[in-house]
Amino acid sequence: MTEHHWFGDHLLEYATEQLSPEDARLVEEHMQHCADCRGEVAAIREDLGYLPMGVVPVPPRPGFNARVLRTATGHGTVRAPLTPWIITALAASTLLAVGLAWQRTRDARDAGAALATLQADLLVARATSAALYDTLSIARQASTVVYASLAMPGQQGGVVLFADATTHRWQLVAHGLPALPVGQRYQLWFVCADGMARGAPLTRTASGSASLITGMPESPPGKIMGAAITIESDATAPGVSEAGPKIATLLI
Amino acid sequence: MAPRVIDPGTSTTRGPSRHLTLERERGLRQRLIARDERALSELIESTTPWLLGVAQRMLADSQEAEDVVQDVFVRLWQQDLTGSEGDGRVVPWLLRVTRTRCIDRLRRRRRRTQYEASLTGPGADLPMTQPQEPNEAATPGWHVHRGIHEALATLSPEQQQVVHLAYFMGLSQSEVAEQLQLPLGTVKTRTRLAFAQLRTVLAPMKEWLI
Repeated sequence: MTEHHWFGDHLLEYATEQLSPEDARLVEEHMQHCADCRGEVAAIREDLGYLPMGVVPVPPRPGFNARVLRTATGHGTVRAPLTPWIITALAASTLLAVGLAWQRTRDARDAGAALATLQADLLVARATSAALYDTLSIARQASTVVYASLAMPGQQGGVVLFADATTHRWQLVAHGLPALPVGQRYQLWFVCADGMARGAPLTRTASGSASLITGMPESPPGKIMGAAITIESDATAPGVSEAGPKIATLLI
Repeated sequence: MAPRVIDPGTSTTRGPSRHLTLERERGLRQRLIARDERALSELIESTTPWLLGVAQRMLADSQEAEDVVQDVFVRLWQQDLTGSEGDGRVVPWLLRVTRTRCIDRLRRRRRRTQYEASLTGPGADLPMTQPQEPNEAATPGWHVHRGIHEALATLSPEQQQVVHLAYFMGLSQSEVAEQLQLPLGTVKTRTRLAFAQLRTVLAPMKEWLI
């Protein structure tokens, strides 16, 4: 067995913290110059990243979270008083920094503005891609896909339901929804064995489509069997059962 | 009979959600990089029950478990999160560092030959599942817990035993061998096969929306 093979055989134990500190150090030294092993450890950790969540969660004691936040951020802790020489040093370094900054302000202002714009664009792009990834992952993992046409005379639209049994989330995509009079809205319902559970309203876009990602209701009245979309009046108080016409029913 | 109606408030189109979605996790990471203390607060709210669960199971000491979780969040706040380690996933990082800290403490205990107490202490008796599922809003990430147990159920009882002791109780493989009165080589083989199986089953989870 070569040295590399020995390390390769122990990467799983290393990544799951089962090696002795001595062997772990050997693996770490090896990984400094072995990209393959570094990549394998990263892959194992990625695959098993959520495994610790196999434990039963323990609710924190009242006040614990606030204490952790205070300790982590340093708020509420006593800070060491400033000694005169520290104050002098701070003042001197501040003056020096101001002088240097004044000299460089002109160029830095332009570069800083460009950098800030790029950073803002990057954050927006990341958020957009994360949202897209979120949406696509449900469609890709969907264990059930159901389509229903709109039960509205003269309308050509329909609703697709992607049900992801793994994450217990649904994605609904509707198209061809006609505009509603002011004061009315499209409303999602969970069709359950012993009744209905109210979901979220569906917001229609100008092109007549609507999209919604939703989790399951907390205490549904019986087994969840599907979804329904109705037209409800905004004047209807929340908690009242569906009163308006049902325009689509999707049973999974 | 009129149908019973519940207003779950579960849609992502409504106000701030406590659901730990992948998108939210990434958003929290960006806000942590920007030193947003509210992001840290939200992360503490969402993940503390799981981190305490890990630490309490391994250490069998609630005070020590709280110390570990607090240390982990202090380290997170001091950490440079701009690096690309672990694809920038904050929750797996928190879980891993919590386990590592617990293992460090267990090793210190063992040097003082006190670890035997933990094997029969409250941690050993903690259940791995709850009889009734909490609601997702109260415990974000419960569906991940359920998925992990479905993955663990694919292992043989012998493999589940070594994973439980080695991974969730933090025992070294020698200690597992001693506990189960098995040759060390058998424990190593079982552990390796078990984790290889878990990797295969759990790999899609990295794309889950926890």
